[in-house]
Amino acid sequence: MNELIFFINKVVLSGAIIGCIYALGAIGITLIFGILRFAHFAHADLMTTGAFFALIFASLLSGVGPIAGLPTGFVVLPLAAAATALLAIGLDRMFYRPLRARNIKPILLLVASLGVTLMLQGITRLFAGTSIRTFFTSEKKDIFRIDVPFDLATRNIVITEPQVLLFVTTIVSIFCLHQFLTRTRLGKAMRAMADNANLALVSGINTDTVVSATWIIAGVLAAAGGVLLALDVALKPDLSFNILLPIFAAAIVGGVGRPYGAIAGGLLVGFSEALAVFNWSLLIRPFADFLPAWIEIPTRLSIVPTEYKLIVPFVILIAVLLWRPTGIFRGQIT
Amino acid sequence: MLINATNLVAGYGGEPVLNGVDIELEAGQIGVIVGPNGAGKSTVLKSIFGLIGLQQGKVELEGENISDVPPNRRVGLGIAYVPQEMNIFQTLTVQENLEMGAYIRRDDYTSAMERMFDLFPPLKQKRNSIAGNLSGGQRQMVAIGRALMVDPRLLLLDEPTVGLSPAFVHDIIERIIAVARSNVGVLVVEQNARRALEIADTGFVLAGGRNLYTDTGENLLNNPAVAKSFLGR
Repeated sequence: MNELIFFINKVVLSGAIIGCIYALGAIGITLIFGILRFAHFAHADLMTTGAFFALIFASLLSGVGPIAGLPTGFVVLPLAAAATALLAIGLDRMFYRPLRARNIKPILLLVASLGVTLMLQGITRLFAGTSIRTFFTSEKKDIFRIDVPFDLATRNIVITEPQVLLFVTTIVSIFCLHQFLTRTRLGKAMRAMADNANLALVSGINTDTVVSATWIIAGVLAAAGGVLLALDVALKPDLSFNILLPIFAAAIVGGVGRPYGAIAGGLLVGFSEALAVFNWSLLIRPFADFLPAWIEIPTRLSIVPTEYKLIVPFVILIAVLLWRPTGIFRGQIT
Repeated sequence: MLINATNLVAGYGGEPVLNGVDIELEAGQIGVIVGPNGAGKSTVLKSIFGLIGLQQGKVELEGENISDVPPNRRVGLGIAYVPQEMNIFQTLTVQENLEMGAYIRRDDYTSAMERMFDLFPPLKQKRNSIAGNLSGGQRQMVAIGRALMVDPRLLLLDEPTVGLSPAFVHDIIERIIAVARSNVGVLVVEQNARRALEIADTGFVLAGGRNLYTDTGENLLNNPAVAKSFLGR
């Protein structure tokens, strides 16, 4: 039983946690691609910047967390999300819109977004340095140990408060996004423009409004992903840049331009990573007595060593695209 | 005069495609633009809708010069346009397509939607289906229905019957006549010249970006020169 609990902690929970983070980032990337037709490479650093906004607000309002009974970093998330959304719109107005106005190729927007990502990295390091920071200097990170009602189980399922908040935030965000896209006039216009931008224009849809809405949603979700990742681990300047590639893999695997695909892709990549780095010998060892004597169970038996975790998204990407070339949810091909 | 486009000169950069086309249409009438490939038929619709800028000439809607109004604002003035291809939102439902057609309307447009379902009965039972999964004829109904949701004064249709089976061609043409009867001016570009001229109040025969003949549909059908060159007889 202890082995099963270990598996739940290491694979089911870890996979779901990182999968949710990937999904929050990938939704933004896929929405931006659907509307503006370019791969927004600065998205991961938008997540990091969102987390730094939260750190600033948390230090200004350090008392609010204990009052609410939640981590201060989480309580200020709406403020950080608003700041990140404003930043996203500002970046668009300053860098991407002037380029779009000249009718340039999407590849140049991608290059511009690489520039923006370097700029964001520089600015965060300029103001915050390169040290690792935490939201939990004066607060305690609550850890829940859930007893498993089985005789043989002595270990607990372990989950921290930020991880619970991550699950709740992800589910609420996805529900709200779904309602927005299927129930509201602007949400439907957003889907319409992603589907057929020319016809959206011909129908009289104000494409500038749709573009702004896209950046707001992408910015809010990026901030949520960045803040919750920083609460779960720690805040450092390369917090999200390290997960840029898995996030893109998630968006592509799910089908580019498909928000629900990005969620599925995020979870798929997250669980695959957790499964790939899991030490399977722990699950096999209890059965050692049933195996022939000449089989020796190695102490480490994972599909991929942890240091090479980054190859997992690529393997998933290739495998899914061979099976379904436009992604799970049949995304748009430029 | 509902629409009065005079001396249209327009193109896509480089040599102009239109070299001085005149189009006039009254409310409630059907105008049909025919001509060989490359005559500039679709370009006429695009320049009346404002999708391409005019190098010369002007477009007047009920006497008002709208040459400088951008296309998304011409929708508000009562001009609706159905492109030849990619003219529906494939991943949206039929009803959502119609709602997008009514995007600029801030009033209650449920009656307009019910009228679309009366005009195109097959769409009523498919209102919650994804538009991309419909048959070719039904997709064309969605495309025209989307454009009609703004209650336009002028409807521009670019080859609405292309690629449809004969039964659907008949259906769509019947609907175009019904739309015109409700006092909407309809300007249609058609490949199927004979069929289209039969329903035309005014026919415009274009060649090389110029008006070659402008007359009633009936007269053009009986004009031996037109018949010889454009009606394949």
